[in-house]
Amino acid sequence: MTDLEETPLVLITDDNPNNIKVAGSTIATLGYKIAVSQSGQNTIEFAEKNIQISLF
Amino acid sequence: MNIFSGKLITKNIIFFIFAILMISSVFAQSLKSIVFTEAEAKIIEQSQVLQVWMDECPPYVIRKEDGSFSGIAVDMLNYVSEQSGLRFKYVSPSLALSQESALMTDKVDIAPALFSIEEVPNYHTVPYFSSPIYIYATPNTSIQTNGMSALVKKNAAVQKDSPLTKYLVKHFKDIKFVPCPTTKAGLDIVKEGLSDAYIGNSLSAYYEIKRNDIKGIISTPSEDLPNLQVSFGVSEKNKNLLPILNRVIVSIPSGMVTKFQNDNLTNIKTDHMIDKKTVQKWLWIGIIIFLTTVIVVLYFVRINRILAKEIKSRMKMAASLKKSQEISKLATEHSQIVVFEVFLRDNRIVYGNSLASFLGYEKESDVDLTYDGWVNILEAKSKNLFEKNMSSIKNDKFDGNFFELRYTNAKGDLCWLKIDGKITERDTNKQPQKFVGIIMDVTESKEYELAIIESRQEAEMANKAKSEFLANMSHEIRTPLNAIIGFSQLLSKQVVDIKQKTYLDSINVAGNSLLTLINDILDLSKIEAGQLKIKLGACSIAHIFKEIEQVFILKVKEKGIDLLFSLHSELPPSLIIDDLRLRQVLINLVGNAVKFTERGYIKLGVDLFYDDQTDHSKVSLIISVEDTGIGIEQKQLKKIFAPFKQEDSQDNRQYGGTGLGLSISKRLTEMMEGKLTVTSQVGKGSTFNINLYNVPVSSTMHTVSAPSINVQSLVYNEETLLIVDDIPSNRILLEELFSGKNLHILSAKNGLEAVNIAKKKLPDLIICDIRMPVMDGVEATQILKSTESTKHIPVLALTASAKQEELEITKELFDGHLTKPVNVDELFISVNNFIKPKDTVEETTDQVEDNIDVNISEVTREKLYENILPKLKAEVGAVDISEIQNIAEEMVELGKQVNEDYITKCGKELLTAASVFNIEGINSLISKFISKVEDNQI
Repeated sequence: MTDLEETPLVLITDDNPNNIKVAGSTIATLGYKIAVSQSGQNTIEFAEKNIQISLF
Repeated sequence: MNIFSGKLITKNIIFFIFAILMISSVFAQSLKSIVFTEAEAKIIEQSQVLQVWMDECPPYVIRKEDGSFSGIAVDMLNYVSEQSGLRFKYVSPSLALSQESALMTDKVDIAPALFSIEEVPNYHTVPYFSSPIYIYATPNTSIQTNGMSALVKKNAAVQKDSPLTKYLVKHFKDIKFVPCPTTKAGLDIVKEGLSDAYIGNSLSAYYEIKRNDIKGIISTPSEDLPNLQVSFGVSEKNKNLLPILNRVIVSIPSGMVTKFQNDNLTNIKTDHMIDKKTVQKWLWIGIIIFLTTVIVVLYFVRINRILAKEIKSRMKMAASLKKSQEISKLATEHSQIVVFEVFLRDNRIVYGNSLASFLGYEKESDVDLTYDGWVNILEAKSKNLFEKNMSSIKNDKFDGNFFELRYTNAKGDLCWLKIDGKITERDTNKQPQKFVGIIMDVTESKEYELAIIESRQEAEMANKAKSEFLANMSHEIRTPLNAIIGFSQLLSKQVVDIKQKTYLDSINVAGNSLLTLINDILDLSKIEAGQLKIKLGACSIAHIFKEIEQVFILKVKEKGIDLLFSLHSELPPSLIIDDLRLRQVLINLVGNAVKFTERGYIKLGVDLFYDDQTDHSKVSLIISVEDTGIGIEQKQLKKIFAPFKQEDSQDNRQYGGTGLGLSISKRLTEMMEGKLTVTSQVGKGSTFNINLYNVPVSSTMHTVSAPSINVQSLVYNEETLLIVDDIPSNRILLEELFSGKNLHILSAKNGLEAVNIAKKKLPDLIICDIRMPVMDGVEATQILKSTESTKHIPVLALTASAKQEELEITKELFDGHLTKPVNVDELFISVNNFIKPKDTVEETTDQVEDNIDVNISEVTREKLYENILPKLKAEVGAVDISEIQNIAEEMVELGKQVNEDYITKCGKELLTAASVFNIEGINSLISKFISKVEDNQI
């Protein structure tokens, strides 16, 4: 669990749940931590709380 | 006694008046004898018999049946001859030459009736007659009240080559004048509505109206119109006769002229004046003669002045003649209509103005426009039409419709003429004698019309091509979809790993929604191409509602909204409607309602009423779909039924769909002769109403209901099944579906192989594709059905085609029909019709019931409120997957600790959803769990 702290966090944003599923499954195989969001609003709110994320 | 004395007095008076008249006429006679000068007397003596050009011009010159002449001008000539001793010979025109031109070219000496307005040309005598000019029009036009001003911007017929025409063209520039050959022709075209009015000499018009018994035309005098003067014309070489003739004319008692007029107008046809005439005639003439004697004296005074004027006018002759010619030319050039008359006995055609210049020729001699000449300028087809119409006119079979002719004009361009007209004169046997018509140039409008027809044909072709293309494309798209949907379904049943199963389900769902889209587009293109037909049959609305419920019950439960039904208590159990299309419309409407409703309910209702209370064999229905969803803005309401347009404010990505559903629903409803309407309030919800009018009530009960089937547990009795398809993936899919069901599976990749295998192995059932290389399914089945050994084998058609004609063929030939992509349940239901499965054992479901009320202890509840719920509530909006997994694991742990299976189960479900990044699943699981805990349901 401590290792996860250092793993980069990827936030996936898409309004289509199917796209999230495909992107999430694919990126997860690369070993990243993943967060998902269905709207830009949620994404911004989430980003304000967590700094080390790369946006999609 | 009284009566007798009354009569006696009358007799006395008449005798007295008669006596006075006799005396006065003797007195008048003595005044009338004209004194010629010596020179004049000499001219008279030396003059030969004068030739008079008798061009028919009633009522001035009337040609009688026996070839002799009468008329006002003839009476005048007789009078002149009596008074002066001049001798006249009447010459009948053998050429189509007007009086004027005959006179000018010295063909004759005298023209009997020449007209003039205002100025009298110098080769005319003083006028012997003056006739007012009236406007002739059908009743109820503003012409009767407004006179000439009512004709502005309208057509008015006038007689060609008349000084009146020149006068009118000069003074009334806002009126379009249409020259016509005769007064009769002018009146005829007004009567037929081809012209707004005819303007002309009231005497001629009166004569023609009486003679031809023309009804429905009213004459209107106008202050704007002068009188038409009638004179004799004298040729250049006989101009020395002018003073003699003038002297006779001025000496004529005016009563005499009136007598001539009455004689010629009362003798036309009517005889109602004759009775009175015998009594009154002498009385009137006597009084008139008496008065004219006074006038004659005055005339003698004036004659000097008139003679002086005449010299002046002679000077002006050349100038005025030239001017009038120019005006006449102007009138012809600006007219867009040519009036013509055809004398059917000898095919003679007379034109109102120059057709040659109308057709673009410079001179009359440039083109032959006699009856026979016409054929030379007409195109072959038009030539036939022209001749056909002319012969039908002659045989009195003309339908009265206008016809259009194609001709080559002077420049060699192909142009169009429109000819319209009527038979206006008939002989005593009622055979057509004369045809009056108008010719219009319609080249521009005709070319426009042809261009429109052509572009419409092109558009129709393009639309048809589009429909064909879509129908074919749908076949091409369905084939790969068949593999996608079929195999994902199949794999999903074999795969154990939950992640992989979710992936497969996603593929399956995506495949199915793609199929729905294709079906929508295909439906719309079929409706637009008119290929979609309504098929009526007995069915039950209640049953359709039940099916709708089955389709949507899961989604509705998922969203936590209610699906309600409200059926009118008198709803007949069975109605004649197209259940397939009604179901399609309802699925569309309910699908939309579910999509746009987050809380509240969706209500399906049927209300009914009878148009005729005594007749209950037909009922009108109002089927309503009501929701408490987001509603539609007022300005969007009109647009929502247009294809390819979704609500503007609608977030397309959020709700998905083609935007065709409502458009298809509206058109389907209209095809069922119904109406689809909508009312809506933003934030409150929408109600869609399907109104179906006069739906027949069926007497047969609707009993068919789709049997449900448990495919997985089906086992057969070692029957042999032959699968025929050229695409390997399709074959393998079917083979897999039937594997493990205790069946022998054979396969063939075209019709020929299928026939050979079937003959050898005699299978119990054949499932056959239609389109295949080498030999297609239809041909193979025809062979099998006509072979003794194989004709009993049932054949199921399996096709991706949605073409109506192909479906028709398969219906007759095959024992059943299935469409790709294969619906597994339908496939087995069809198969079971031909091979009976063994009795099946019901499978037990291992799913945990959602609604089981599990009571958890207060301690557990506290733990949930402390640890789990706050964390779950934090995961709204963007979701951190690893957080969710942590919470879910905590839930599983907690469930195990306190021995609450429900919590463990929810935790596991959440873990699964998180592992496949199913954000919708995560959100719905969290909100469901929170609400269950907070509502104390567990």
